[in-house]
Amino acid sequence: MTSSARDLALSVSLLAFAVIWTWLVIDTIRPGLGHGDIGPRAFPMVLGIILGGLSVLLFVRTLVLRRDETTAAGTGDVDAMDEDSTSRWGAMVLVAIEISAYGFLLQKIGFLIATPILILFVLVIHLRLRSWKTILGMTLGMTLGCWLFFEKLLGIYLANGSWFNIG
Amino acid sequence: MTPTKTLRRATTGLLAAAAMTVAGAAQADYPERPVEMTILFGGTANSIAQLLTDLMSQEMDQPVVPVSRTGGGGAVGYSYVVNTPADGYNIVWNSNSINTGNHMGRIDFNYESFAPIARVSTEIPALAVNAETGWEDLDDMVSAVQESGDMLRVGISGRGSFTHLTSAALFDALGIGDQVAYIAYGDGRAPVELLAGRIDAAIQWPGQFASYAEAGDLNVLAVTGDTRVNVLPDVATAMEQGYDVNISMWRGLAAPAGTPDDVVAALQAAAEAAVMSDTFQEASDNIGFTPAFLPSDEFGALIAEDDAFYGALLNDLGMAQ
Amino acid sequence: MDIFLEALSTAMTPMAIASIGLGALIGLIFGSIPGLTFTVALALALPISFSMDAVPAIGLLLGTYIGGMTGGSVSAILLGIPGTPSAAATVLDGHPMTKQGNASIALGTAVITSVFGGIFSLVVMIVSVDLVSRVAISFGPAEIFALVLFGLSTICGLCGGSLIKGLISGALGLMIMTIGIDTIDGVQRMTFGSVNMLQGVNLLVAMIGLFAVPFIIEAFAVKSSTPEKSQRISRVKAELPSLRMLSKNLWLMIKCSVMGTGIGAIPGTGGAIASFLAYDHAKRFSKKPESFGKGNVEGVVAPETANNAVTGGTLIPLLSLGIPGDPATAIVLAGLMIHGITPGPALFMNHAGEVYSMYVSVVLAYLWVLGLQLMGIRLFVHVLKIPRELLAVGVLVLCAIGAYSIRNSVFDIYAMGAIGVMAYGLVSFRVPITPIILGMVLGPTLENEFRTAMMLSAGDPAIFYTSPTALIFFTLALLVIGLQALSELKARKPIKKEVEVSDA
Repeated sequence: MTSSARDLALSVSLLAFAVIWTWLVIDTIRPGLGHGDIGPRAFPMVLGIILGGLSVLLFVRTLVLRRDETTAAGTGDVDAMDEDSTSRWGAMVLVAIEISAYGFLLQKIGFLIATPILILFVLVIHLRLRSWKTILGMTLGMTLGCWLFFEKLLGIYLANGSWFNIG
Repeated sequence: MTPTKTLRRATTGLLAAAAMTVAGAAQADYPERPVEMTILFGGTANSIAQLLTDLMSQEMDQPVVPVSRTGGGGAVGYSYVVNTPADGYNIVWNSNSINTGNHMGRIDFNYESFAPIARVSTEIPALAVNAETGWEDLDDMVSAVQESGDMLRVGISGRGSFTHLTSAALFDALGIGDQVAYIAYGDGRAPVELLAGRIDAAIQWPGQFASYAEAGDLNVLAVTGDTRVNVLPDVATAMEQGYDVNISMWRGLAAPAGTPDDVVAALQAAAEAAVMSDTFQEASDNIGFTPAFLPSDEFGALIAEDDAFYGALLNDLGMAQ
Repeated sequence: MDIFLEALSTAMTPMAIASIGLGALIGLIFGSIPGLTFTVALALALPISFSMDAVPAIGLLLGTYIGGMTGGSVSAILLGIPGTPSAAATVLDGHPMTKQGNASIALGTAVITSVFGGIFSLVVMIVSVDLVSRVAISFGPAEIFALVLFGLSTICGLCGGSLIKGLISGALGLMIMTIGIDTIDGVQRMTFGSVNMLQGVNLLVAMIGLFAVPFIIEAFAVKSSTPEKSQRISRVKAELPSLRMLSKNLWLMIKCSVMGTGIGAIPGTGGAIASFLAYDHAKRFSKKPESFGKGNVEGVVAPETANNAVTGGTLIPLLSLGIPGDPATAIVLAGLMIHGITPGPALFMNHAGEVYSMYVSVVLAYLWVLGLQLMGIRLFVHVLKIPRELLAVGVLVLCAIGAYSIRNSVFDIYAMGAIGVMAYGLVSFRVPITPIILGMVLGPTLENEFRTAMMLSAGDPAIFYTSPTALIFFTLALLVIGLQALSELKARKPIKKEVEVSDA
């Protein structure tokens, strides 16, 4: 994807989001009562409209300029990404799945079982590590280390499983 | 640690041991593992709960663990506890928010989904005005407001918040309910706003006003409960001044409905011993709440009575769902 | 004077010094581990302080608060994941310095300027607590709204490539924070009847998602495409900043300290707005504004001085008015109250001794932090030796623990994942993500103060343009936006290469 095509795609999807957001806000939140009462609806509604306006502006500007921007994404981003590779999108989807699965497992089987399962999955399947020393060390080290440090030493509550639980 | 404190701790420990033997006779095996107490709010609610779990842990064979599940005006924590097994291992540090939360449509179950264990404390709101107004009691304010015909700007934390409901009930009882404009702040900044003169009156917790009242910046006109409060002993209740208002915020313990009676009794005994301890009584003056133990059945009756009251009040304000 | 000497002796007991040190250590650990935040550390320290005497108890809490505020810069600099929202501005130049192999210099600068800012603000506080609290009271909803709007205008300076994309990002941040219960009217917004949505998106959870999840995704993606090599973030050196460099920035440090103290004194604002304003100020008045965002040490000095100057500033409304500025100081307030020290105007009459011991405790806490951190830097930089993908696995688990522990809610782990994936998507569309965090920090204050102001004036907008203070901030905000738009327009004329120089 070229830079301008990417910006067009971005502005169109943001515009769609802004329209849906604004419509939902108007539909579900009551307006202010007037006489100084701005009400809960005004801000989200105005923000939705502003976002829509900005995406239109981005769309128009990209069409008019139609040039590649050489500047980087700017401040606060991760390492500048040079090319769109499938591995990045693949990693994004996998990490999303890993986080959701971890959250689900924490709730169901507790920290002490969910954590080694997650780490094993990430190391063996996602990262394809083959050094058993690293795998075993990371899995047991992270799990027991965190458990001893947080639960036992500091008394911070780690998730207990609702199906069953150890520790 | 000072010697007196050590002594006090030892005494508490002895009392605890005595209480435990009594409770232990009725109780064979509960509790076998730690009891989890869900806390719904930060601030004062959290401070009292931390202290209470500490003291209750000394009374029971297993620790009581405070777990904070805040958000949604208590809805998140109530929803969590109501879905746990009714075995006494999950209890909730509840308050009037069980009534208001249900009537405002934040939770789709009501107080009947919980078995009351014990009321632990109450907090009594106080009404303050800027000292420059010269108002010393409720009558001064009422006559001044009625004479001027102006709107009285009253600071509240947010619509439907406890300070709002108390204000609404109080100003209705004073007969100037239609001359009040509520200014919602979204947090407890009202005392400062009162000091700066941007609002005319505000209802907050006495602890927040005490220091200002002592310095002579604010006049506290009344407290809204049926007793005076320790931090402001000179301030008369609204009832003493001839207005029929009695609102206070209670906090207590509840478990999911269906929890066995003997388990509730064991928890009630532990809570009672904790509330009666010196540590708890001493902390109450500092934090600004009143220890107010009530056993399970009386607590249950109070919640039911309050539920009708808040339901009607929220209906009047157009906030009931 | 007698009271002061007495306070000195109560604050200097071994017990008190040790508990301040313990607090500083806990705060540092929680502040510096990505995913964990010092609000959690304070919640943890609070029950411990119950059974202590008043002075050590307060020392423990203040130590945790100060240690956490300072420790937030460690993971911001090393990994690009801020430990607190107020360290988000430090990422901008601190992390590029790490990539250039200057991690230890950035860390050292952050600690030293933090301590400078903290002690400076304490002195200001002691000297002028009465005056400043009077000024702070005069900040009503309209004035705070204007100040927050000014803070929001710094988004313009953070946009990098494109002003429009920066504004989009800021708007998204503002929108996320409207989800949940509206505190003013008590009604639900965009919750779709879900109890979990009622709690809204927690700011700290969002911050973890915005910065940590893209780090994890990136580390995993690069590893899978080149499975043989282990990657490191950068070389490791343990070098401290030179005195010359620090003295060159002394004037900047003083200006940022004043800014931080002033903003901290106004209830309802806090560290993040101070550090972004300071960063923007340093960039605007720098001799080399184009080098900001690429590892300019001034970009570390300014936000770190300012966010620690906030600690002294927030003590002003906390002690003199009893108003906590943020969730962290609210916990400190609870600790004070439980030991019978009720903040407010009467505090200085009734508890002068305790107040002075608090001042001494703050100084001690900063000395602890300085010592612990300078020793710790040698340790911290070794984190960079760990292969990046393994580091990312650790960050993943810690962030889940951190997100969960804030409210003990699995919903927060899902929210962290969702926001993180959104952030990664935005980054790959070249949208900067720092404005999102700024929008999220300032959004609720912006909206609430506006609505409260309008209620106060019964709907008359004159409340905003009749207040001189508010007018000053509106003008400043307009100035910032105008200047940025102007430079953006100028940059468009010469083609391609010069663009990078003028608005990076």
